[in-house]
Amino acid sequence: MIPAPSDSSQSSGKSAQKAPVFKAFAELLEEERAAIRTLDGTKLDRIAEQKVGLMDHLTALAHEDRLAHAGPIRELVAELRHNGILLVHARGIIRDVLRIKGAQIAEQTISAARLLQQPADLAGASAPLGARLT
Amino acid sequence: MTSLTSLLSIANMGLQAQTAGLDATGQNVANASTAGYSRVSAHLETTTVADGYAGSVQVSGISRTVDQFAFANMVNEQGKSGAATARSDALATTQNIVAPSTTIADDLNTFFTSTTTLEGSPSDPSARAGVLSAATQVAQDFSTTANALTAQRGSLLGQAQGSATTLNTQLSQIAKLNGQIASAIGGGNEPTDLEDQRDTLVSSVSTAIGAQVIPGANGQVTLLSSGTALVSGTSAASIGVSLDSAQNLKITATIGTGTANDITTNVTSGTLGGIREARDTDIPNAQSQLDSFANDFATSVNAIQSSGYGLDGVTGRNLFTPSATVAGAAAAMTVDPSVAGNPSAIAASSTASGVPGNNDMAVKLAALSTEHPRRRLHPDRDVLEPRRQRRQRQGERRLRSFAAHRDGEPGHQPELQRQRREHRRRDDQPERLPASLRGELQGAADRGHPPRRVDGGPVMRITDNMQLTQAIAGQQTSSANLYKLSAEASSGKKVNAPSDDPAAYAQVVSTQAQISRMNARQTTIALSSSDLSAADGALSSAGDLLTQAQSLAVEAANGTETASSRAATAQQIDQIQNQLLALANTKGASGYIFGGTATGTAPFSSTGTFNGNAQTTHIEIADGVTAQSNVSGADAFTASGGADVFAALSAFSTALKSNDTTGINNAITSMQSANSQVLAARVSAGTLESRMSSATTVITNALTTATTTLQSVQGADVAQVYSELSAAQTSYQAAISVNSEILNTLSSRFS
Repeated sequence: MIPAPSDSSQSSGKSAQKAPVFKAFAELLEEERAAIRTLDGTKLDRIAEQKVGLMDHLTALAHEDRLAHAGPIRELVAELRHNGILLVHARGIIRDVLRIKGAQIAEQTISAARLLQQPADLAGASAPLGARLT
Repeated sequence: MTSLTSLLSIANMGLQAQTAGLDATGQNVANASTAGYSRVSAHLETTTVADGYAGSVQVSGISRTVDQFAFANMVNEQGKSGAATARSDALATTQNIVAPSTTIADDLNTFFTSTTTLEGSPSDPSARAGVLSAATQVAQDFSTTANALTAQRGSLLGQAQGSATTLNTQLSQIAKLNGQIASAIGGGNEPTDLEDQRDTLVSSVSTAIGAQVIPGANGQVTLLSSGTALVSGTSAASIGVSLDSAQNLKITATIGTGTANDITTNVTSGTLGGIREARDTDIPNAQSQLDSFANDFATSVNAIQSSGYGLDGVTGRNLFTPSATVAGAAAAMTVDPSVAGNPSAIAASSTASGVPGNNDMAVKLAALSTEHPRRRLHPDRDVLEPRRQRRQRQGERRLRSFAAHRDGEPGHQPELQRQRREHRRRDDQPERLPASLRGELQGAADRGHPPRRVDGGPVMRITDNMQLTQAIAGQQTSSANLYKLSAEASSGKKVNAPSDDPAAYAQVVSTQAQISRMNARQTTIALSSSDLSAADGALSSAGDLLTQAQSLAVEAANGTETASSRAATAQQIDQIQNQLLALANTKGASGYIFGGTATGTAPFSSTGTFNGNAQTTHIEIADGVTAQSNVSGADAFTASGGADVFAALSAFSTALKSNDTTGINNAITSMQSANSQVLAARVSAGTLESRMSSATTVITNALTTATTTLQSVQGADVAQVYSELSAAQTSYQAAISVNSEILNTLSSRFS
């Protein structure tokens, strides 16, 4: 369970209580890496929401606490950076696959535009135009 | 009263009319697959026979069945599609240049890692050599990337000129067809074939530059584009592409023998528009970002370096040669001559008296990796890109509307009707609004979407890692392509099972080829990593042996040593030399690892003579990216690196055997030099090994994803997989955005 965000009156003496935030973040990022490997978009959406929630806790840290947590923050930045690279790379793979498939569908789009020149009632066919595109 | 003759005449005319109709239908069937063919219909009308009583039927004409609205819309969309495709292709190339797979990210990481090492051992020569080596590599990477972007702009100029040449030929053909069609219509004929040819050419022209078609009364069409008439009657304009004084594309239109009109700023559609956008906006933006980043990086490092002290107690030296201007900073980036080749000049200490143990400056250098100056509004990323995305979404809505109309979905008809109304309205207007009014309208649109963030600070920030910067750049530069793909996805209504679908089969084959390439590359990298690891181990042991020899030299130089004790030490030195020879002749997976490209024979003879060469080998670690895969034995053990290690050991041994105290004293220095040289080679091996490790991680992840994709495509319906991948792509995009935002927040609030 993530502790509630600290208010500005809290001192750095309570900074140790913030450690679970970083632990939760690290676990979430590990989970994100697993989701990237399995192309689990739904899980990625959920994790993104949870990351935003955790950031709310993190940004609520008092200034003194931020100084005390410089080390964990540095580690967190490195982890986020790593996941960022994995996300971009995975998206690139998906994009390549979609590009191959997209080329075929683009041809269908041109065919569709051509068929649009013929009103359906004059085409002499009972089936919907879309069903004949392929 | 109708006569029998009249009845026969009526029947005869009816048969002739229906025959003409059947001919038209037969022609339609025969040309069902002909590119550019439009369906024709026979028009029938009533007529009377000679007695004036009975009605018959006759063919009044044959005409093409063309929906001018749909055709005009298609031409319009083809212009946008041409622009998006050209820009997407150009940006894909740009992305390959600056994408995360290039070396800047890895080498910047290596640089900061080396500064961390220096932080722990400020007096260690190998740590200093590591920083210098990494800085040199980073400078080379910046320069290479900047030069590649410049070369791409040159390539796009050639593409634009080629496109203009084809375009001019097509415009002439359209003008000629206009004349032929007008003549045919004047002669009472229906030039359907000529009209089909012309429409096909109009589509091609629109793809090349974007066009608006205005039908004329005599069957001719006027073609407008970019604020000028491309074709008017039988006159065609000639499009020229050159460079202006700012080295940007200059596009002109010349009608007949008239003056060439500069239409550059109006060319926003078609292939030419896309190339212009990519060449003169996107790539300069990327170059500007790269220059700013290189300049900020060099300035930040120099500020620390110039205020620190090297091992020689000298201060005021830059690590990178400062650039006079931000523009061109990346291309000109080099290690400063005052530091190049001189690891001692690296400033790790903040004071002259702190040398060599003080590491304040090394700490500051390492801390640069987590500093984040505040982010400033970037016009392309924060303003232009959202605007492009809005336009792209409008295009998607139109395509969806067409698809809905095609499939008879009544819910989408209002959108189509709205577009028809808009189209009619446009018919009565000039092709383009005046520039002042366009600006005003655009401004009004933009005011509804104010910039998200405006705060001062430098244009480019020093991030904690170049990889992140490049990831973000990759995200931005591929946006146009992503939206284009999304639009295509929305039009895909029916795709058969993989076994019936050649395209899906091609996809599977392509993915398998990709996996095969990655597997082969992974194997090669593993072999090289193994060799580099072996080299690292051998050099580590060699360093230990030379440290031992150095200690023996110090002991032997002691005045209390006798000739016999020195002779005994000489035997130890001979053993060390033999062990060192064995290490220098270490064999790895690809042969002798210190022989350069001569891996088949032992590089060092029993006397320490070098028989190898100083050449380096390279392997491909990503598409178009190579990495050095061997460590130079010449640099590690021979005079090429500064000291001949085996000659130094022989000289030491000889001095010991002859009880030559001067020679023994000289050996203290020579053993130290030899040790430093071997250590420097070990740093090189470690850097290369680290790079291989990084490449292996990337390929492993890519393999996992590609394999998963392949399984999905092979095991499921292609349409479903396509849909799921589209959705996953959206999720990845969102996750990337969230990740970037979090990093930005951490940067601005915690630095």
